[in-house]
Amino acid sequence: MAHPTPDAAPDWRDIREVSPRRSLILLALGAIMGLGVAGYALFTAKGTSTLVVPPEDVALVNQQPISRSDFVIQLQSLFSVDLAHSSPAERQKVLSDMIREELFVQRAKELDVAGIDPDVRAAMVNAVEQEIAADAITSQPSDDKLRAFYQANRSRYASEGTITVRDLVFPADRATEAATALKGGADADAVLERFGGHDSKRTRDTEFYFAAKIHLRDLAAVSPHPASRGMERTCSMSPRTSRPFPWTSPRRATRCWPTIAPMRSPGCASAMKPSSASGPIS
Amino acid sequence: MAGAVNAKIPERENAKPRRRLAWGLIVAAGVVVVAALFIREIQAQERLLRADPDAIPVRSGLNRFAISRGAPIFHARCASCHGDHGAGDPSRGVPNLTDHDWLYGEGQVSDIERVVYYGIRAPHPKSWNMAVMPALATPNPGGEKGLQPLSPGDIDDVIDYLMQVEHRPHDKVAAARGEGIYQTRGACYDCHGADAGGDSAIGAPNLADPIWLYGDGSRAAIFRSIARGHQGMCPAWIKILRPAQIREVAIYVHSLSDARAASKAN
Repeated sequence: MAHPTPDAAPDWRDIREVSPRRSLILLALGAIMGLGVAGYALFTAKGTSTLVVPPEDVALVNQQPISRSDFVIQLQSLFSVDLAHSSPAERQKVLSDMIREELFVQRAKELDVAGIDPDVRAAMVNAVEQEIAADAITSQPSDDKLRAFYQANRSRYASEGTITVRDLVFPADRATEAATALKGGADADAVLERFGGHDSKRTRDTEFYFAAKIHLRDLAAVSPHPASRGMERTCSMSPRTSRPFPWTSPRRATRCWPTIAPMRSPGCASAMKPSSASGPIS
Repeated sequence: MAGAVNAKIPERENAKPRRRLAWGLIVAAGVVVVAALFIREIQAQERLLRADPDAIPVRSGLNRFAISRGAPIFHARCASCHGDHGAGDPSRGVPNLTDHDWLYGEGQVSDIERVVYYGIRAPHPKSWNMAVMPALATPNPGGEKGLQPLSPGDIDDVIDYLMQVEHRPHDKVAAARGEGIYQTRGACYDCHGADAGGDSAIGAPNLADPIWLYGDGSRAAIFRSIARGHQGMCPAWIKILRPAQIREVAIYVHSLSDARAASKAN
């Protein structure tokens, strides 16, 4: 068996021996692999790629991507077809339009349109505000925070109560007596019969609280019906669940001053504000 | 005997570098396998992104790949509202994703993907935000559109009309009045359509089917919807998820309704 002489260079394949040649080969291999990885990243990374269009995009316009999803949406909006059923001409038209738009936007940036045009500035401000709001909307507040917010903003979650309104018309000479009887708790239909009055039927049924107020304003605004001349009117706004009825004093023609009691209707988030739930309405 | 011991020492010394070499080769092979799997996954994601989204459900391999990756994203991002199984929550107006009733679009992957990208009434310029359900029991339900409020009686009549459309017990006279309100001053037809069939181009629900976005379809629930209005929202995920993740979760959501259709067929 031949043995290498002490002066001879060791075989680089013999792993037991230190070999400068093997070291250089391994170094070169490592460098080539490193360069390969770096080059791949450089030419494919978003924003630096110049050769490859990322798979999620249909085109790059001066490194600005045009999203494939936006392309599909635009195709559906413009031609009402999905990608599979679109013709090459339709796809080309949509892509050309989108590239053209992107080029115009890029040119507008070069011309500093945002610095000149107040509408563009306003749109940019709005976009940034939306961006900030997005963070707030997607955050998950704790139950305590939600409860505190609700307590501080109860009025925002209040629903309109409902009220039954009746508009009764009596002869002028008997109106005061009728009103007294009604305020004493007498049945309205019995009082109507006894004092020769009638229900004007202007109020069809139960109304929302605000609607009842509007309704009475409307009553105040209209001129007296010919049939009600010489008659006096008593209005009542009665919450469904409260008693007794707050009948108003009789007023000539259509003027009335009902009193409304605070109320809570089923499913109501919170009680109505007392300030808006009572007091005279004209 | 001593000679035999001496003879084994060089063998051990020889074995050490060989073992190192063997371990080195095993590690290198492991790295190559991991790299190959990584590259394969990247390539699959690229195929997924380059494919026509609406055609992916019929490409079983790509579909399975997307579903397997979309499921954990759904559970991490969407399940907090839509539930683990995508069944939604009618008490909060969170739509059921396992049925075939789609509020926006026709339930194609591209439609779902658009919702995931830009959201519904989310603070993004491309978000779906074309209509809201007005609160018709408020003094100014229509804002600038000039809608007038409806009275409780009006709303009850409209409910009877909706019951009639849905072939449920109703008062015919009230339903006739309700139809008049629906088609005129209530302006319900404007979004929900003259036949109450809804409009998926603006997210207006179908009122003629038994599927209710809010509540259980009872008179009280419908009354609340008409009286107080609705405007549900879904966040835009474009800034949070990568395009591949958005497509994967869209395909997963699509598969939820498909799975139910398949079980019904069986």
